[in-house]
Amino acid sequence: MNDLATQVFVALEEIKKISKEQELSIKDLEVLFLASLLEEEV
Amino acid sequence: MNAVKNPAPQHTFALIQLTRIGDVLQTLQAASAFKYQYPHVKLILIARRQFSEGLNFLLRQVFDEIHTFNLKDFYGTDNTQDLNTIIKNIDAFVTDVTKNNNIDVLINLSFSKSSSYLAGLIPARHKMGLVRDRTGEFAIKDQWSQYVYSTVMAGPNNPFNLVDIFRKMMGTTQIPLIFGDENKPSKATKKIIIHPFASSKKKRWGITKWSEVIYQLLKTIPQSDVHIMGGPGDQDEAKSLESSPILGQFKNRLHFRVGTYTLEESFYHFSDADLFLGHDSMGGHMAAIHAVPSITLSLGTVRPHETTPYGQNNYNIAPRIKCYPCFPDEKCDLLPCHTNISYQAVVGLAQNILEGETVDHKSLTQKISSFHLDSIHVYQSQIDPVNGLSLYDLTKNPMGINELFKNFYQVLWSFIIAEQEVKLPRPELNKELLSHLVSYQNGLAQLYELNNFGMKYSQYIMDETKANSPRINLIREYSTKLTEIDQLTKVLKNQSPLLAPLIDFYFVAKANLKGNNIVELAESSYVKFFEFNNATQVMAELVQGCLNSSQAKLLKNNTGKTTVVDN
Repeated sequence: MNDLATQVFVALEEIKKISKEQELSIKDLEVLFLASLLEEEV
Repeated sequence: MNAVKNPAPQHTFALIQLTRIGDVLQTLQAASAFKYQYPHVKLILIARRQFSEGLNFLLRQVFDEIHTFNLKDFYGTDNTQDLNTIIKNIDAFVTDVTKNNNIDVLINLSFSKSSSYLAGLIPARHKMGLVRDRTGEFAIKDQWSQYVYSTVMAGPNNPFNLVDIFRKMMGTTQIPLIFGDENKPSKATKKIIIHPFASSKKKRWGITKWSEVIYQLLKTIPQSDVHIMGGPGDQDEAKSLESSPILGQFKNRLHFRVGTYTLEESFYHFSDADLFLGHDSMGGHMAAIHAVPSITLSLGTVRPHETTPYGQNNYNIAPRIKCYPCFPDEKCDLLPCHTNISYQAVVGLAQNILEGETVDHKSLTQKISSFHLDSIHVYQSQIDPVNGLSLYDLTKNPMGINELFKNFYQVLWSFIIAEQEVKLPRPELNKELLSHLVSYQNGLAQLYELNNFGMKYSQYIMDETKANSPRINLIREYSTKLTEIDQLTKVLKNQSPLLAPLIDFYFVAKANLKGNNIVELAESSYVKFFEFNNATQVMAELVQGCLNSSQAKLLKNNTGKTTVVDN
């Protein structure tokens, strides 16, 4: 298994591919929430 | 502080506050006012455990439910590094918040990215503050939230205390309650609590300067004890202070409570205090809840208008220097604002407060020489039951254009968003300030014209959409004109930077237009340009009022340019 930072990075790259008008899934929003928490923790 | 909890709640409000202890205390103050006015509303707090757990003894008096998390919680008991498991744990947290609650109003009171996503994840009928919609973009629907996004988060031009912003977002007109007795009997020995620490180097003085302040206080006020407070992370600096040679003679009157008190013990330590002295940190807010007067030394990134402890007659000393306040990401090695405030000014003000006499311009100039007063603002807080907290500079040093515009914005936003009238003392204007005002008068005239064009083209779109056969090419052409108007407004903002709060507020409002089709959107656009113009007119009247009241003459030359001439 990749480390968490790599998994989050891969998930964020997938979210970036979604068009701006399209709704994100709850899981996508949860990934964005986690990514921002990790970013603020640094 | 004891807000009444009603056993039969009719509605549920949830507040998100993910930032530091001081912010949680300010949220608590606003929430206590809300709960006092609306005891039947169930109030929920969602916070970071590291910043809220120590305050549970206070939070439980106001909030019906408190949900907290730390990032580590999401890793689970086995400290998982698996993304899917962490996501499930986040999901479980959100479910836990909502399982017994149909949240009517969710208000995000923290201005961070993570809080905006959390606000997007928690289901609620209405959402306010920084909130993400399902596309992951900001959805900022109400005026106070638009104000927070365009002014509070964008720069130092916010004239309102955060407690007032929080309570206005919640919709309460009640002023925060205090915990202690406002009219405590005077004691022979004064108890001074000092918290000489802060979360960043930019925001705090070094230990040497604090040693001077403590030495002078103990020397000049013989009937006083000084209590140094701080958390476990402040212990090394506290040791340096304790071993300061100049403080050796006062060991019996100097008490160190650094890293040894819980937050609850620290809080109750304020109950019999006579004065609090420190930088912008939780100590000042604890003092305010006890109605203990405070002196805050604002340095670096700290904005006195936002963070002055909420109460009557609290004092905030801030540097008078162009680079102040700065932004957290701006590098600064020399910290010039730290030298603007002298220990003589701090000690003079402390003496004035502890003597129990009125603190005003006259008393200040008797205690502190003009040499020390020239480089600072000494703000005094006053609470008005309608408008909340305002700051008044006791030094009467000449006002800068930034401060003057901050006053204008206080009047403008109170009028536009809260429908309240604020009356501020007429400023003393010098020639430099008048020249700035003339330039801004021109900027406001241009802004007014641009908004008129915005209304005109929004009207054209509305007319065309209502025609029997709307011409798409014309609608496109008018939409392009609206884009050009926005671009010209951005150019104007660069030329007149103090109009940025006004311009950005309506940019945010226009980015969140109501409507599901082109007709509704064109109508909303027209209304926003109309409101923008009204606000521009109010601002123009404030500028004109100042120019009219000044003693200087304004001369218009052949090219129409206005210049300021001494009378």
